[in-house]
Amino acid sequence: MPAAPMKRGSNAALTREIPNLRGVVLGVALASSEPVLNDNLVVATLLCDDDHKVLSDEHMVFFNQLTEPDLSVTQLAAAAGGDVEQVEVDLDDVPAAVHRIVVVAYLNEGMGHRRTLGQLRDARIRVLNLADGAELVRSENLAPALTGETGLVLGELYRHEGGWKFKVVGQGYPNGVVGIAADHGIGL
Amino acid sequence: MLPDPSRAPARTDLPWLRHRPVRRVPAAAATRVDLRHAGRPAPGARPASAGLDLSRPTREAAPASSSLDLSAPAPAQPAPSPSLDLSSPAPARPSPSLDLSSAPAAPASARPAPSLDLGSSAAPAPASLDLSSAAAPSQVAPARRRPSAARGDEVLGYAPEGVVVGRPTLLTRDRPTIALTAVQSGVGVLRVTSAVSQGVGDFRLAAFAHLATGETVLLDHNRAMTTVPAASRRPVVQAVDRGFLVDLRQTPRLARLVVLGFSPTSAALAWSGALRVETIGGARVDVPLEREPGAGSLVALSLVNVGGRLVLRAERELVPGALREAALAFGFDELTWVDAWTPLV
Repeated sequence: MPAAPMKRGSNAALTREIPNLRGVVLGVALASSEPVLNDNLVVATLLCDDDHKVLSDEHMVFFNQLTEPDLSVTQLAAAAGGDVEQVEVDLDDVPAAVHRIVVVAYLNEGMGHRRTLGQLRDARIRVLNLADGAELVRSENLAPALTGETGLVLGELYRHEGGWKFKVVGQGYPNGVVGIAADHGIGL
Repeated sequence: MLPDPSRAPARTDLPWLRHRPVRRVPAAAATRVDLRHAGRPAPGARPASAGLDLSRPTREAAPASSSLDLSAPAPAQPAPSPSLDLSSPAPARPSPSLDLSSAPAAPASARPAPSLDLGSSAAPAPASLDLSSAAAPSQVAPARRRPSAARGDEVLGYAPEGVVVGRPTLLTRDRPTIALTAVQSGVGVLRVTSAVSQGVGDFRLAAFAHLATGETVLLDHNRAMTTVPAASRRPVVQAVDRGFLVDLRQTPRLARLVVLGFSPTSAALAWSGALRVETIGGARVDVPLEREPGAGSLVALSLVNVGGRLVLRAERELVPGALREAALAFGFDELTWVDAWTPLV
């Protein structure tokens, strides 16, 4: 049965609900009718400490760095099922220093394309069980709330009382990846 | 016929690759990463029941099965190191047949001028293998192939330093190479601009770009050769006024970029100034454009994609002749030339 969409700011106690959950797949769906926008969309996963800072620049997983040093979080080379990107997370293997696994999307800027995430018609994140691919939770469509942003925090996995919870964030960044990087301690 | 590896000269340009930080990889996970990307359908997709499932081959006790078993057979001896050992198989003794210290290059006193950086030929036995002087005539200096040109300069010889955000880094003769992180190499745009005074002369900037697809293109903004791939909606590199933009969203498509200055009238230029390379976050690398006055193409900067990290190297090489000679000297052999200045597009 399809999971009910989660509202912005809501969370789900994944490992409490599914005690034998060992890994998840974070699937991101982004869609627009703008080819230039689609070409320049990037999904990245940030492995952060309790202060929302990445452990190092090697802990940003994206197309140019498909995994992190411990291989616990890996972006798949190809996604399916309606997602544009999928990220596997082996929950048991995530380093203890990592408290939050934040999934962001941004527009790669600088070539003068002048697009924004406000042109998206669909922006969702969902969580699948790594073991069988079953969809556990799905966010609502975050796109309607976007206007001139070029960066977006979609959601995050975070540790809670020895387990993992998932939260839909939906926070936009007018200054895109530069703002996301500044907030999360990423060196550009 | 392949040369005898035991007689090969000691390779000192590979330790950088060998000594890259070894990531802690669980034995099972190391195999799983590759196989799951290759063979398993993405989660959420309808499973292909008849497909060969190579995912997670070792998580559970392997049942006796008639399915294809790709696991490694139990080694009878201790397993070799999983890391690729690129160390030279040759003993440390020098091979008399490959002693280049007396290569038939022009002696130091006969070298025409310090305009070509052939210093290593006369220097006492550098550790690195430098064949450059062996074929360099003393008077006319045609384009010569650099030792690593055929491989796209991927071999660095040492671990390059990184870029410190907030403090410009100057590439010098002593420290010619620097590497961006994978994040700096994959986010935003890398902007390459020239800062050259009018006193230099009839200076113009050009670049050769080589893509992972094999395509090689000359970029020259003044002649409307502005994108790689040519006439693409999604250029990987774009020539702009006084510089270039590298779209880092497409870093996996870029293999190598070489930036050079030249005079379209073949005039001798009073080389001075610098190239400035900037990331979206403000990290900056300055590459000098300084040589003694002379004609030809000053190849100033090479930018090589090494596993997702862009490695910048100050080349400082003045190649006599036209753009074609510079292209050949730096391994861009794929271009077909209409004339010495114009590749066939």
